[in-house]
Amino acid sequence: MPAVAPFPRPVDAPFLGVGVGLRPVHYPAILERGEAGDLGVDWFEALSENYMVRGGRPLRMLDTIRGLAPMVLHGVSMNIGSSDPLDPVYLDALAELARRSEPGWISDHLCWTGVERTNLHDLMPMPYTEASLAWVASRVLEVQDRLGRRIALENPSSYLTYASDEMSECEYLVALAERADCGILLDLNNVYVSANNHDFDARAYVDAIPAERVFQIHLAGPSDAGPLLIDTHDSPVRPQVWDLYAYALERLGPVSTLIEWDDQIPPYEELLEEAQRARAILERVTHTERRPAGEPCGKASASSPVGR
Amino acid sequence: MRIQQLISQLVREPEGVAAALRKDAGGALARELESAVCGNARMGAAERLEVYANAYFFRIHDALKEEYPALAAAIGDGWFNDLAGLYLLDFPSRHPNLANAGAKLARFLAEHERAAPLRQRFPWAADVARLEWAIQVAFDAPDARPLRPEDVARIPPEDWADLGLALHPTAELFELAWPVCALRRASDAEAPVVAPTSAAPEHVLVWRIDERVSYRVLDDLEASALACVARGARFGEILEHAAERLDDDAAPLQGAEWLRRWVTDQVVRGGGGIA
Repeated sequence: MPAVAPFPRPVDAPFLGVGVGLRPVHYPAILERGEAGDLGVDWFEALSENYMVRGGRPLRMLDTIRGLAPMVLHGVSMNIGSSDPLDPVYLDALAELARRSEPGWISDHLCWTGVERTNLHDLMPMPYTEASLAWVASRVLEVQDRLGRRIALENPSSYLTYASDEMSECEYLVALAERADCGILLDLNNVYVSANNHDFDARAYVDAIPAERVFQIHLAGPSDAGPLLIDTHDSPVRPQVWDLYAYALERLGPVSTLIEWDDQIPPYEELLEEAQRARAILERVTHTERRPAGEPCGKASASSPVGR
Repeated sequence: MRIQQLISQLVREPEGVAAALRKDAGGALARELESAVCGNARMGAAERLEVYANAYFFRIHDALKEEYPALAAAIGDGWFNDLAGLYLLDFPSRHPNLANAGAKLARFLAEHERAAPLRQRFPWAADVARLEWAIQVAFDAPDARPLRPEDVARIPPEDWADLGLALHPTAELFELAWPVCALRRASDAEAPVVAPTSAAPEHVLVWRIDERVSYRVLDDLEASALACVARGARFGEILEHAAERLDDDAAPLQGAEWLRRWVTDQVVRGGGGIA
């Protein structure tokens, strides 16, 4: 079957295949498999803040692994929804990291992470109001101007909603993407978690997401905490999320897909089993070839490692 | 947005959201929260916010424990929990990277009023924290080409005195009041840690070779010689420094031995035009 699908795709977020989050504990396995020419995945997602450092192992590993496969940058501290001013030091560091690693794209979360210069290191939900939408859209535009590219924002998992909400999270996310002309990182585990926590329909959420905005999909495993699901990234992807993934691919076409695992991290080979499962679903639903055609971003070729 | 300030305040309450609401005698906080955050039959507003409050404390607590393993082992889980909670009251995280949340722990332990009970019970704790933070900083300090044996070999012996030296940017030299390096070394080896029983000054050098962070205790003379290096001394000044404290015969030998070790360990880089 041809890989060409009748789905509108963002031109600045080409299809990369299936990837995993880059975690230091996996560096040795990745380097070893890289030497053998079989990484087991098509691309990596690096956590931006881990590489906003001045030297040493993190940057060396980033450069080396970037020479082996395409990479994207995913941040947790842009604080795009905060009432604080955007942090120019953070944006400068992100721009510098982007110059260094030439990522396929850059993403962060639709949330606020702190206020009054205090970082909660968590993804706090926004009040879904017209006023906050206007505020966040203006900040996304500012960030995109600063970085010289569109960014993608991820729907967060959440455990509370606000009395002031004027629209659903999904309506807010789509409206923001249109208004700021940014991308969406669709985290299907987060859709599943929040749908459980706030009693909404996960499939209806996916139905409302415009395919031409979706840069990437995230898959991960949550934890149970009484009546809530918590986004802990410490377990395998749940069957309900695999089902939602297949459902999403039927509507969106082939989207770059990433397995996230951040706590109680399994050996690399075990992570690859999750990636393999995602690949099987991706191929079955979208009839996509294993390797994405061409070289979708900058330094994608393993034959031209980064020299720095 | 007032709502963000309210949530940030409640999430960071040291005893949790419910306790903070109970303590607020007039009930204004509870009313404000109930009017801002939705609860339902499954879970009330305060309980939902408590999920974030627990995550806030444990996420930072766990990051601190990772950065300060010897301190955590030496004072035990209960005290380390208290330390994390008290520290966050004075030094909430201001940095985008969670790994930097503990940057001021040594200062907190050494100076802050809230840390007084910890200081009294564990007078060496601030020094352990000082050492462990230096190890964290060295891990991703800037890269720079160190002075290499071949650089030194190229210099005729009669010109050695003019060799300019500087500390490598990953290297930090400092003095502690308590001998705590052994404690960290035991923690690194996953052996039982034993706290020092009496104060005794310890000169410590922390640095990185390629990707591995090292640390060692220096004697007074080497520490003062390296302090000269940190000020950008020429090797001749190091020799003069040694000559003031050693016999005429011993000083050049000691100087040469220091230089050999500093170069092997990648602790110095060349100043004054060397590579």
